Amino acid sequence: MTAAFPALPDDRRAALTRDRWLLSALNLYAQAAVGLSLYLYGSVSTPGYLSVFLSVPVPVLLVLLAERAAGMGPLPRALCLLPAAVCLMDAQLAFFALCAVLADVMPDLNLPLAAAAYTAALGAGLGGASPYALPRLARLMVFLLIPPALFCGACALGHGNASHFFPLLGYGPESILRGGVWMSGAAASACCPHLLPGSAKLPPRAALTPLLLALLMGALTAAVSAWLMPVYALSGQRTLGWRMLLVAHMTPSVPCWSLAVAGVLMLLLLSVCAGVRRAAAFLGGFFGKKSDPGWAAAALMLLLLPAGALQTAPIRDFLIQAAPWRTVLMAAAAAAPCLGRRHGQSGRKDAA
Amino acid sequence: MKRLLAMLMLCALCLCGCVSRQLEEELLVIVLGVDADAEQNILLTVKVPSSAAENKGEAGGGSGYLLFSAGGHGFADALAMLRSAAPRQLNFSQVREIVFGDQAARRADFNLLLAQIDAIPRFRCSAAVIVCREEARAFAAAQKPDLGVRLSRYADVTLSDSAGKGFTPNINLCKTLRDLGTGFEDPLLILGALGNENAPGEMNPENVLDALPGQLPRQGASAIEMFGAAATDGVCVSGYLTGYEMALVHLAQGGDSALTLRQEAGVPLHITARAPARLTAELQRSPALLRMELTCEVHYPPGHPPDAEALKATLEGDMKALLARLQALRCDGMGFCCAAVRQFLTVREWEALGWREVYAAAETEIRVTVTCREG
Repeated sequence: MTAAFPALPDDRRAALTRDRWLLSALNLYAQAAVGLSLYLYGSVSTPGYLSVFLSVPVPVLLVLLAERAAGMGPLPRALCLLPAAVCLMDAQLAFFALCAVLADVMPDLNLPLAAAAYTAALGAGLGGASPYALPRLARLMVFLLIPPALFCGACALGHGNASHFFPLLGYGPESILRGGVWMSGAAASACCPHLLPGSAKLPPRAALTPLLLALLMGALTAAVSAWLMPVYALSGQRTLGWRMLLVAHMTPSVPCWSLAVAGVLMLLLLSVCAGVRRAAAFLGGFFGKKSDPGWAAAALMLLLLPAGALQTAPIRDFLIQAAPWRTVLMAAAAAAPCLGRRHGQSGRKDAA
Repeated sequence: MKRLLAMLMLCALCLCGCVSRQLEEELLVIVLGVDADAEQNILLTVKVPSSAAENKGEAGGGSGYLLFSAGGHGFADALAMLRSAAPRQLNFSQVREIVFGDQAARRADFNLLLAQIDAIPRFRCSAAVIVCREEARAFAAAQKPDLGVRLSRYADVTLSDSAGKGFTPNINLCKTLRDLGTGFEDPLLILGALGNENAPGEMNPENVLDALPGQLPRQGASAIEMFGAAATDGVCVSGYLTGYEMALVHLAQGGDSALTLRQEAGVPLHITARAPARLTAELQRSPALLRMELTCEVHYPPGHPPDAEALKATLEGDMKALLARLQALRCDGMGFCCAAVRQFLTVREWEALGWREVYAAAETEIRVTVTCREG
């Protein structure tokens, strides 16, 4: 059992909360990158960046809703299962993509064994980690991930063509809209820091700025991919791992390749850890614990193993189908306390 | 514990695909050759470095390189046979050149061949794609590092130098796969051939650069000639462009290389493009009109100013002939498609146009502006 949050002084708690939003932003970027490769490139193709922009209102609304819910006290125990499921889904998608990238980079690798090794190492690490570890690591990771991402984007500039953005609407406005709805699922867990125990109340701007920047990075990633590949080629038959490393594949530069591979792996690892740790924290809330139980993180990590190790088409299709429902689950978790309170107030009025 | 997590994540830096395997334990393929015959049989050839002392001489097919070939009724069969015939595991992560024989490059499933090559685990996607006018096996056998020690480095520098001079395209497997049939600009592949070192080919009196490899009036240490381009029509290779035609394509694309033309008095002129040519496609009329506007700068030796009007007429005529040739080959190597596709909002509308037919039947209009500078 780890230390409880209320022991923190106010300034430390505010710093922790800011780091939690940074972690949330990095997770959002990771989920956007996975969403682009898993669904958007194939179904929406080059106008994928428009779908990312379309999904912007979702994290904004969820953050505002979650802020109101957090103002009413801790999340009711039964509702804790909803954000836990959302975070676990995030982790599952990130782990699935991580294994796909490993398979692409090292075709000779024994993937089930590697996935099991990752699961064991991450499970052990997360099981014993302090609740401050990941948020603080996120602050460091911003400096380790963003410059390489910008470097790879700059390397890609010489290998694309502006005409690849055309036809501007790709396969049509319906596909872009569908992509926006799908992508909103990637943004569902962005509001988690409001719902997690131990977070300080920050002005909405402090919470939303990193999230919106993360979505902007996601849109830029989609735009760079569109710059590199025309509409048919981007939506062509490619593996998830290849698409995750699209910039590295299309840019014949060794530094770009190394930075892209290392950056993608680190981002996905961080997303897996964040998802599992948050899911464990919400599960702790469900069981009435004030802090997240480490054993839960280790156990949840095991749940991710089969999908990552097997990498089959039915599993991928299931993940594609399930991913957008994250928005519904998170919206339900954030809105239920507000609706419950309103219902209670109107009930009292009727009684009076 | 957070240190453990940080260490774990930093370990990802080491996962860049490298494996610790000794050079003697695998064969690093530098050149991959693909030949085909009329019966759909595929012959694959690989050129690999060998550290064995007896292979250092000419008997080894070049200084320290070995050649392995295997055939089969299709690419997969040939690759399986090649793998079984090779004494070590083949490693394709260092391939510099993929050489297609003429017949293989003209097959209707050329795109599929490229995709199958790309699907080979750890295949180097930035390998150059070369179409050889003869058999790829002979071309691969003749490849050797005439300068330096390593064939890989020699090939890198030679290809880069050749593209920099403007006589061959700068193309690799990744770009070919991206653009062949699914892109908005048909890829032009590097054209190569084996020259006859003892008998220089016949010279074109009008323009010595207007020639195909294998016929160049030159001699050198290497029998390999890479000059010009192989045009593709969205499916496979449909014909060849000479070195001069390729240089014109470079000029239209705003490449850094200078096109050298000779005046009637024999004074050479170096022509460079100020910017890539402005391409437009008028699709409302029938047949469609493809327009190219190119602004060039001509540098002439002191005291020998060129006839700007004559030069303009020459360039316009040559560009028009090049476009006509590309249209006949159904190859949009200039990228008019990029200009046309901007006029459509959705893929459905674009596909309804039927670009290939429109392009092949279109009229062309070339406008060249020439600015002359001394020096």
